[in-house]
Amino acid sequence: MPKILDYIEYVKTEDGWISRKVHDDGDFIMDRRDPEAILEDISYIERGQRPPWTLLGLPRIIVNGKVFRERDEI
Amino acid sequence: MAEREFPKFAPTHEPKQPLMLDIEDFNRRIVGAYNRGVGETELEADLSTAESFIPPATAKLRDFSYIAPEIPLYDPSNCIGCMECVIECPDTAILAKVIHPDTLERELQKVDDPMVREMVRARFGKTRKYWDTYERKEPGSGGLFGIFIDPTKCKGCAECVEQCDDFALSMLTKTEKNVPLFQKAFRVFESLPETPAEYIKEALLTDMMLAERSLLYVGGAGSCAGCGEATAIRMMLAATGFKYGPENIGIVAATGCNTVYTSTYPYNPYKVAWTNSLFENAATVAMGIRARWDQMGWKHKKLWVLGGDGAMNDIGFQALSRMLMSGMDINVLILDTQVYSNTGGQASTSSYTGQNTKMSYHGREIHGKTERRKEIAQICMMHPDVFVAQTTCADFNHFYKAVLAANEYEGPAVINVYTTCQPEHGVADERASQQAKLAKESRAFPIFIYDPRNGETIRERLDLKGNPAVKEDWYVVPKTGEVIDFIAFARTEGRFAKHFDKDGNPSEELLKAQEDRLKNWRLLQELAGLR
Repeated sequence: MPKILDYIEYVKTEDGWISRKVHDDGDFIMDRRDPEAILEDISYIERGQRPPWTLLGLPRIIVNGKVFRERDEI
Repeated sequence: MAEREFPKFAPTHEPKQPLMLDIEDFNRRIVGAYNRGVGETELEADLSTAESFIPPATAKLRDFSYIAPEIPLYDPSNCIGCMECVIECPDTAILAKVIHPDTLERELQKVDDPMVREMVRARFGKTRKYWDTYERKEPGSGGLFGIFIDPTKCKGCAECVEQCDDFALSMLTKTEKNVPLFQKAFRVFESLPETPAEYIKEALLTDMMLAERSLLYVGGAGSCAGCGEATAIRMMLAATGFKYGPENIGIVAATGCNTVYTSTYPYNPYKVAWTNSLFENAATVAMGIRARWDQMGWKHKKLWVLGGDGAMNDIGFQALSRMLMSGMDINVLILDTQVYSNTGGQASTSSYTGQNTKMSYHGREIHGKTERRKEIAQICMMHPDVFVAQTTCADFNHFYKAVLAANEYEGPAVINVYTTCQPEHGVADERASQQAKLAKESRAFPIFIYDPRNGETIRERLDLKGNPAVKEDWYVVPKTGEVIDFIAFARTEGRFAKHFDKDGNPSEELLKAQEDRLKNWRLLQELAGLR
C-alpha cells in the first residue's frame, strides 16, 4: 500500500544538518539527499519560516525533535 | 486504386441547429450540468446531446479533487528529472516543465499572491539533466525542472511514488487547506510557457511528455486508480503526437474498458479524433477509414485501433486477421489485461492457465482456467509482412520504440502491451508498472519486436532484447539468487492466490501454467535463433 508522509524531519548532527521524510509512523523513511537544499531549508527555519517547498501540501515539520509546524500550519 | 468520387453531403432539410457542435456551449451547458450532477434530469434532448458527439478534451473539466484521500507531494531536492512519474501516470495528473530562470521570474510577477508565487518557485529545482549539462556547455543556458500535480485529475493511485527511485515523491493526506493550494499551483503551472525545444532531446524518448504536442490524453477519464491501460494509451499518443502532431492521428476503439472510461458522456479525455462502433469490428472499421483517408490524400495520417484482449483475441479476432491481410497502413494497440475487465472479469483466450476469473472460477472441481493462453502477437507475426511488438509500459524505451517503428512501418502493425488490471489481477493500485516488469522477467509476458524490414527469416526479424537472461530458461536475480519463474510472478497476484497452500506450495495447475510459459519462451528463443 502507498506509504503516507507523516512529517519532514530536520536534525542537527555532528556532521551537519540532515533531513528525512518520515512515513507511516516511522515505518518508512526517505532520506533527503541534497545538502545544499537542506541548508537552504534551515535558513528559512532559522528565520521562523516554513521551507518554501513545503508551502504546497503544508506537511508537519519537526526540527531536532520539536514540532516546528503542524500540518496545515503556514 | 483509382480515385473514387464521393457525392457531397446534401441535407434534405434545413437543419434547425448547426450540425457541428458549439464547443463553448457544450463545455458550459452540458459538461457544466453533468459536473453539477443534473445532466440527465435538466438537459433537453437537443441536437447537441442527442447526437452523442463529444468535443475533444472535455474531460479536462472533470474534477476528481476529492475522490482520493491522498495526493503526491513533490520534493525537488531529490528529483533528477527522469520523467518516469510523468510517463507512468495513467491520468495525466503529474506533469513537468523545464523553464529558464529568467522566464520563470517574469511569469511569477503576474501572480498576485506572494505565497502562491513562492510556492510555485519552490517547485522548480536544478537537476543534472536540465541544469548542469546546459550550464557546462553555455553558462546561463540551464533550465529549472519542475513537477506539478493536478489535483483535479489525480486519483491517488501512487504509481508515481512507486516509480520514483529517488524518493522525490510521497503520498500526503489531503486536507481542506492543502487541496486548494495544489489547485492554485497547478493553474500557475498551466499558465507557464511550454518547455522550450532546446530542453527536449529528441533522442531521449523519456523527454517526449515535456512537449505539449505529446499530451493528447488529458485525464479525467473514468478508469480505475492506477489503470495500466490508460498509461499505455497515453504513451502511444505521446510518441505518435510528438512525431506527427495531434492533427494527424485518429483512433478507432473496440468496445471494452477503454471505450467506457474514455467516452462516458460528456467526458472525453482525447485531443484527437476518436470513434467506437462495436466490440468486434474496430479493425474493419479502421479499414474503411484508412481507405477514405487515402482517397483524400491523407496517407500521412496515423490510424490506431485500440482494443483489449477480449476484442482482439476473441470477439474481433476475425476482423483483426482480415485487416492484417489487407496490407493497409493501420496500427493496432492491444491492451492485454488477460481478462474481460469491463464486463466483470470473465476469462479470455489471453488469460493464463490457472487464472481465477469469472467463467473459469477457481472452485472445488475446476481450479481456474484450464486452457493455455493464446499468444496473439505470435499469431499476428504469421500474417505476411506485419510489424509486431509485444511490450510493457514499464519498459518505456522499448514501448516508445515499438510505437515509433509501428508508425514508420508502411503496412499493418500490432503492438500487444501488458496492461495491469488492478481489480481483476488482485494487485494494489500503485503496482501497474511493477507487475508488468515482473510479468516480463518471469516469462509470463516476454517482450519482443518483430520487424519484417530486418530480413527474410524469422530469426532476422525477431528481437528478444529487453528480456533478462535471453538465452536462459529463467532469470535469476544476481544479488539474491532468486529464480524469477512464473510461480514467483503468480505469488504476487490475487488471481492466482488459491493455487498456493498454507505453506506456499503451488498447485499442479500452476505448475502446468509454468510449463506453458516455459514452452512459449523456448519457442520464442527458437524463433529468434537463440536455441
